[in-house]
Amino acid sequence: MDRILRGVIKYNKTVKKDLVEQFKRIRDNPNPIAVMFTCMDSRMLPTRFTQSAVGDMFVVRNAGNLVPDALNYGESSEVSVTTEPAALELAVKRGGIKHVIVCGHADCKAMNLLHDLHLCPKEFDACSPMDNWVRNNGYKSIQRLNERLHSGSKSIPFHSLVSPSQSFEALIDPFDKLHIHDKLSQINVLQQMINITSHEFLKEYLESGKLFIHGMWFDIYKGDDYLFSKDKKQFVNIEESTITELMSELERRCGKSIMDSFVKVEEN
Amino acid sequence: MGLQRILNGVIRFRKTVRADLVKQFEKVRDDPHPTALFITCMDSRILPARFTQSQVGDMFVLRNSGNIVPHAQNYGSAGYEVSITTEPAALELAVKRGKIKHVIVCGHSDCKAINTLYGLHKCPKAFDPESPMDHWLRRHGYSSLRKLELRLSNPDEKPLEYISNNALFSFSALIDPENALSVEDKLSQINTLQQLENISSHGFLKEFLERKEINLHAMWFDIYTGDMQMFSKRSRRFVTIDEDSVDRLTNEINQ
Repeated sequence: MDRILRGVIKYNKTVKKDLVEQFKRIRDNPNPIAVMFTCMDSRMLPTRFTQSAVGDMFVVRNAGNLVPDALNYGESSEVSVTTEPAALELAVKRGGIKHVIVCGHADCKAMNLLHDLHLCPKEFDACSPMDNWVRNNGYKSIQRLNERLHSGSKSIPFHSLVSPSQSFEALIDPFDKLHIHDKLSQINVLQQMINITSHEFLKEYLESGKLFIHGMWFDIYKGDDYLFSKDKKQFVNIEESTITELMSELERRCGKSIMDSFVKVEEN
Repeated sequence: MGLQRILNGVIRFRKTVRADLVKQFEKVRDDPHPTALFITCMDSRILPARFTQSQVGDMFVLRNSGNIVPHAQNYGSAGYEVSITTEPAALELAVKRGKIKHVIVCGHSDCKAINTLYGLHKCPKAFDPESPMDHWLRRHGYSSLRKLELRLSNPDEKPLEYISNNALFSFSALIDPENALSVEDKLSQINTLQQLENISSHGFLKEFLERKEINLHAMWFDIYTGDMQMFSKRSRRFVTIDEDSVDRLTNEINQ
């Protein structure tokens, strides 16, 4: 705890002044780009990995970057009131963001647990909030994992019932380089993208091209950030050799001028 | 703008910070020792790692709308008013499996969730049953609103009482005695402290709390001044963390 307090002192001396200036600027002109759902893992530093500035992204972090499906959400019995749909409403309706990003990562403890519970259902502890949270919201990812294990190098479908335009196909780890937990972690990211589309209040935004959902995955050991390309049906490592093609796909799908963002980079 | 900006950020990350970060990852990967669970708001102006200058592996970070942790009575898998939410799961992961010693709840000024909560309080008719935000806030913001009313109607400036089953975790608080804050920011501070009461209500944490294996702290970030404040149980108020106060605050925590 001492370290955290000393950290605040260091922040006071270095970063604070600049940050207060930035806060003033965005107060008059807030322009958030995205809401990112990512994991609470201590190795995840989402704003550092994307070098994002103050005001760029709303960040929601929970155990396993899970977003409850609408069928698990609501006010009648058997369903839940959780923060994730509220966060989507805040960011989309009030914050005006156009992009939702789900970002998973390698060696995710929640995914490890999800898989363990799948292999040994008797281990499920009804008194454990973690077991409940992960099983309630992760079972569809397990279903997709089983499909992947049976389909080998063929793609598997991710269907959205509420917004069919948001459905896509995915080739998960076609060369079997990843541990099964990491396969599950990548599949889980894609499944959360579908869960997001299950919320009725977002349907109009999605169908009219005012909102886009993206999947990212961070390999913490290599420092590599992957973006899911619906064109390629795969997670693609974001680097010099792939960025142009990734940008083209984004421009085509999300209709934003690529020149805008290059200008921003020059300014920075 | 758009996602292109984020992709460009990743390229910048690769050119600058990444090599250093991978080295840090190597150190923590097999033997991570996070010290804390930091619970804060999803607001785009909040940057937990920057405000505390923390590194890879230092803190678990939980972020939601309004930095709220449901009270145990609003949590569960059976019945109408209870839900399986992530916050108790996050506490379990960090405390039982991550073995952290400190849980910090950090609120902030100009919080949109708090502003909405206050709006619902002033105009209950505005409650929208189709709004997940309204449901989330109404269900979990009730105690904070009650305490706000106590604070506002309090001519003697008596402190607010936060009660826990375990007396070790009960405390009193004087909220904004100088009346420098807006009513919403008062509510934000009250709400931040309320989460400490909520956290200590969860049965699965009981042993850890009783044996003082975890400590609960409240912080509050003032977006206008950039000041990070910490709640001091001794002083019964939020204190700005600076050169003058840091030793005193550190002493208090270590006792």
